[in-house]
Amino acid sequence: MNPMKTVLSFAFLVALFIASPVAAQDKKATIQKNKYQQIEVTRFEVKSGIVFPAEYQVSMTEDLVAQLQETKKFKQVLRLGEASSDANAPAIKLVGQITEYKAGNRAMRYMIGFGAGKTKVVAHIKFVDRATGDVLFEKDVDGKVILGGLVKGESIGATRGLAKEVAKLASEKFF
Amino acid sequence: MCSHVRLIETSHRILPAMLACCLCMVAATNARSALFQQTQGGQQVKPQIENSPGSAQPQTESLTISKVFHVAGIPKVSRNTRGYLVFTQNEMIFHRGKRELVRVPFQKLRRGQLLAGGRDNAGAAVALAAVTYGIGGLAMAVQSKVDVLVFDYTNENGGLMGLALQVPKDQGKRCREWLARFGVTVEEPPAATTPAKK
Repeated sequence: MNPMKTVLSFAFLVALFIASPVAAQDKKATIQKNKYQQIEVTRFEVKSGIVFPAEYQVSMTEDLVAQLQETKKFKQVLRLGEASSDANAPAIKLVGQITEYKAGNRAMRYMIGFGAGKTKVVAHIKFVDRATGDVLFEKDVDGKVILGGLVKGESIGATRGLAKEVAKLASEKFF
Repeated sequence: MCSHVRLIETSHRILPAMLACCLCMVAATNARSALFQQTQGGQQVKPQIENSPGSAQPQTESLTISKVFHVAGIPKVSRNTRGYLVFTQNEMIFHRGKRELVRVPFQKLRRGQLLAGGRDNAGAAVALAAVTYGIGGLAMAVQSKVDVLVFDYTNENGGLMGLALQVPKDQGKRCREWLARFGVTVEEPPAATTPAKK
């Protein structure tokens, strides 16, 4: 085979790879570890057409703050509008949108089980650099209540599951 | 073998009695709360005169709502914590016993909502389930109607916080009327909204 052709083919393949979306995605996903010491939690929006109870929104915000604090990775976990101890420190802003909500039924979970009456909350979350507005990472996360015990198993507990998943993601991506 | 037969015979006699006891307890609790709401409406207006004999002191009023359950919003306070809510002329305070769990001045309130909700009778369901080999847990399907108050307010650092409380049915309206006197608007979403259930 003509060596020139071989070299040109190889160069073409390399150029193709560099321009490919996979490579681009890898570049976008690169996050500087241990850079962000503060995170601001905003109240999630609700996608139009979804009826999401107001107390669930309150519960979700509080669960997010609590779970992020429990990771002990961030020096400060702030609520929307809260004053930071160091205004110049790099900070992440957590924003999200509730994209799916299934109310479920606790009595059905208890009586039938096997996933019947499951409560589910799905949100699309974004971690955004607060200073530049760049989206650092985004993903769909969910929280569910599948088991319906008499003592535990309240439907509103789904927000806690979602918050735990968000906190786990934040720990893995930024530290 | 004989002891097992005796045990089964005894349990057959005791079981209906225990079931009847539990049903009576549930009925009595519901009747008591209904009677309380009818006679006093769960509202106590307490005129309080400040301690200062010999001088003219202004009377202060407050509105107290009992049997209030915390749903979400107060850090490190578990869900379903029961307490009572006191509205004064410039703030609202949620108490558990003698302990204040949260105190929110009216000027910090950003938004208020009054929603219809339901509350599981988890205690009664557990009791019934215990004596009926789990079948009584079906009582959980029956929910008590409650009003849900949801507030947005700012904390001392300027952060946006939320507070969700369940109050007895029709008491939410009294809270809204009290707050309206002091310039705090509590919205009531249109009926098309799905009621919030616990």
